[in-house]
Amino acid sequence: MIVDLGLIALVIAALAAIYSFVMAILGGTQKRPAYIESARRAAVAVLPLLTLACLAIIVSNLTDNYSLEYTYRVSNSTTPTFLRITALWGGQNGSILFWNWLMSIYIFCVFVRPWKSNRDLLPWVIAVSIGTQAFFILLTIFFANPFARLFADAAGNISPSVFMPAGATLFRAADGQGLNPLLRHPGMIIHPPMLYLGFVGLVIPFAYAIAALIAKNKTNSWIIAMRRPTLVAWLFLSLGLLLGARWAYDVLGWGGYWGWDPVENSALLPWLTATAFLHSVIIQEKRGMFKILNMVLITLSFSWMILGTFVTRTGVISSVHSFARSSLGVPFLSFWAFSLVGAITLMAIRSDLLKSDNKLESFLSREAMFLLNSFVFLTIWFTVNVGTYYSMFSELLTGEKLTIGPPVYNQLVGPQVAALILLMGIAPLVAWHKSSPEALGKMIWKPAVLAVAVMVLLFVIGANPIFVAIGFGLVTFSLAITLTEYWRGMRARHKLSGENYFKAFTHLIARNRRRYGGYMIHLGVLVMGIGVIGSLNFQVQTQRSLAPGGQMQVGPYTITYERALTCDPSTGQMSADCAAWYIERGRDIAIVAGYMTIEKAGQAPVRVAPYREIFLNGTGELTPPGVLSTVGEDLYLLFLGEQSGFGTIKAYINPLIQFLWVGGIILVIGTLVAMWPTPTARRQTAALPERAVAVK
Amino acid sequence: MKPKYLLGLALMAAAVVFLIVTSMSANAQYFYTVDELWAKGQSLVDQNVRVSGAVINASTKFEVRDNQPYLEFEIADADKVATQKPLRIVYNGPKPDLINEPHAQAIVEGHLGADGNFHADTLLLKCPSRYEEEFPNQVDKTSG
Repeated sequence: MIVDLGLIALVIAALAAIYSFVMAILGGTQKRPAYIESARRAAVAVLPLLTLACLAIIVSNLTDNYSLEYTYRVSNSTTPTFLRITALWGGQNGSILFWNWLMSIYIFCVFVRPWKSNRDLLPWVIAVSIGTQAFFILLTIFFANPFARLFADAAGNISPSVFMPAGATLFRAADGQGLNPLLRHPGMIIHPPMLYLGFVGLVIPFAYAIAALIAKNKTNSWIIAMRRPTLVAWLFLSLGLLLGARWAYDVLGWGGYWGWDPVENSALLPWLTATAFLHSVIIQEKRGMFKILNMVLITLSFSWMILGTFVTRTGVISSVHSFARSSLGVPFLSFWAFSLVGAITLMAIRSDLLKSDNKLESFLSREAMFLLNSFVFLTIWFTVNVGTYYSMFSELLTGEKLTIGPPVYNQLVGPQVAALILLMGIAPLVAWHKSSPEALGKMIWKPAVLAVAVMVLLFVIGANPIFVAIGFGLVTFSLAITLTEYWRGMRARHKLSGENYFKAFTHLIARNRRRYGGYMIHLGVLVMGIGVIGSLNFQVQTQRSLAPGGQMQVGPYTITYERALTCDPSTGQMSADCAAWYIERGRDIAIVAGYMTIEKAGQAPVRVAPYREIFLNGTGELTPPGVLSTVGEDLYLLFLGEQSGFGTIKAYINPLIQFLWVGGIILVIGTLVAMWPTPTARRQTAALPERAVAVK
Repeated sequence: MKPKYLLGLALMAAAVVFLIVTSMSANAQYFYTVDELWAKGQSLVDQNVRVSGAVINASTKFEVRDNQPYLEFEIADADKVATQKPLRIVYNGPKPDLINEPHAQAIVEGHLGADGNFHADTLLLKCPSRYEEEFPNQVDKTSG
């Protein structure tokens, strides 16, 4: 049967991974190329095997195989075909298998071709990455096996088991429980794979870094080799975070997009250190400095990715007690601790390898700016960590349960992000080795004046609180500098080669993708910054309970409440209007919709119907808003329900929020530019000398 | 690295840690049971906390006042419903459907007012009976 086939494929994948791990270590320590080659091939074989295992789950979902516990939990007879496929990652055990599969894709891509260079690193890169993969496959098999089937014992009790218990018979449920309604939304279908792709990709740079230490490789070749896979992982991690924010905004209905919730935080934590690493490793490549820092950053990224997987996959964080119940806790935390302790021990053993080639010459140098950048990323990382794990620790230590709310995070993280934005502007202008204050002053006085002008203007027109003006001022400052960098390059090309400005612009980027792609990511972040400051500080919120025909005023908008519609398939309350709501929706959901009209002077009225989607199995609800988007702001309406003939409407005006999404898109494009391969021949003729020149 | 740079970074790190610790301990939100809340009593007035307890269904009252939803209900610790002084929750929001379920658990976030009522900013309801999703009974068995 297909389920048996899947289980067998999973077990063989585990064996292949273990074999590859052992052969890589033997090959590396005994210097036997044949062993290493065999390890490489076995590592590559894991992807097809895991693909087979994933397909087995999908086929089981598609064929209504409710004797498989996993299919029983995530699918049912009314689940559409598409959702039966995505249900592969709709439950805990399947998602860990899927997570494994995504990791095997990275491993496949890195090892599918025989390596021509860095052959000294190869066995160790294999060992670290396939070792991690082997751990997670074993975890799947022994603690979260999606191939467990339902068995009935002699007394008629049903329990899941991978193998048939003595005296039991296979049990096939009449129907499944169906996919968690939260996971039926397109945003929630695509967001987890993106985040997982970002997570699992971090194993590659970590493997390279550890390999360089073990193989005593003093060159930069590992940094160059791991750059692109790291950017791929970073891109997916960023996309996962952005899509998660967008999904929350679109369906969760609290008017926001980021709630500093432990699950969000645990995805943000590895992103913070990975971002710092991507920056800081440039200094190691160019100047041979910050080697210890970089090892620390990539180790933290990797081990917090493990921790994040644990937190997001098991929902452990809400309480210490659910942690004790989860059978995954001990293996996950052991692996996390092992990765940390192992990497630190290795760093200590190889400390001679991590000595800096150069000294920091001045505080006003590119090197120092990058150091500060890593420092600020680490303090943010530390802040978010304390906030996330504080409640767990406090419950353990004092017995009192407490939580840290979003205002505390905003207040703490805000100033640190402001420091990053300032660095984003200044750092590219500061010269390597040592910069003179005069030279730097010459380059930044114009943007600085502009920034101060923006601050004063905002302050005068009453931007409140004061740090809103400061925030916009800092964004203006860095935005002006970044755009000037593009303009300078463009104009120089135009003058030198006579290309028109558009051509000069595209060639400028194409010829130096790393630099200008990087600046584009900065632009994206700055544009996002405008959206964050705006929506966080200028949000307007009102709530009214209205009788049909009643009106409420929100800013320039007049909202007229028409009527409510309640559809509940479980009680048969299904009027003719309900049909339209159930075209693509399961009958395990009740709908409470509020029809209303939005009017604004000089514009045609718009009709919206925000609604509540209540899951009849009691697992929760969604409150998708009715949104009227304009360039400057979103009018975001929620219908909270109808009681005693009154419909309750919550209205938000979210100013500048479009900037957040547009900035996100710019960031993604910038990352794609930065990681696009540059043909080697072109690299020589790259680009302009940098503006910042060192003083000798 | 020169000692003065290290010293600079260490000072900055210390400042950040100090900021985090002070502002978190000042703003952390405690999660109490009704018993714990009464034990702390007046010291908690106007402080932002979370409380959870079992909803006393008969106490639920909902109306619309001045175009604002107004919900009032009482909670008590699930094992002490009969003996404990219940906590009255006042919430300016719609009445959740689950509030009338026999074993509804409410988690509210807000502050204890001087009037002895708890003024909730957010209200979350859980229904333990609905959360148990166990395997079907043999009786449900209709196909092989």
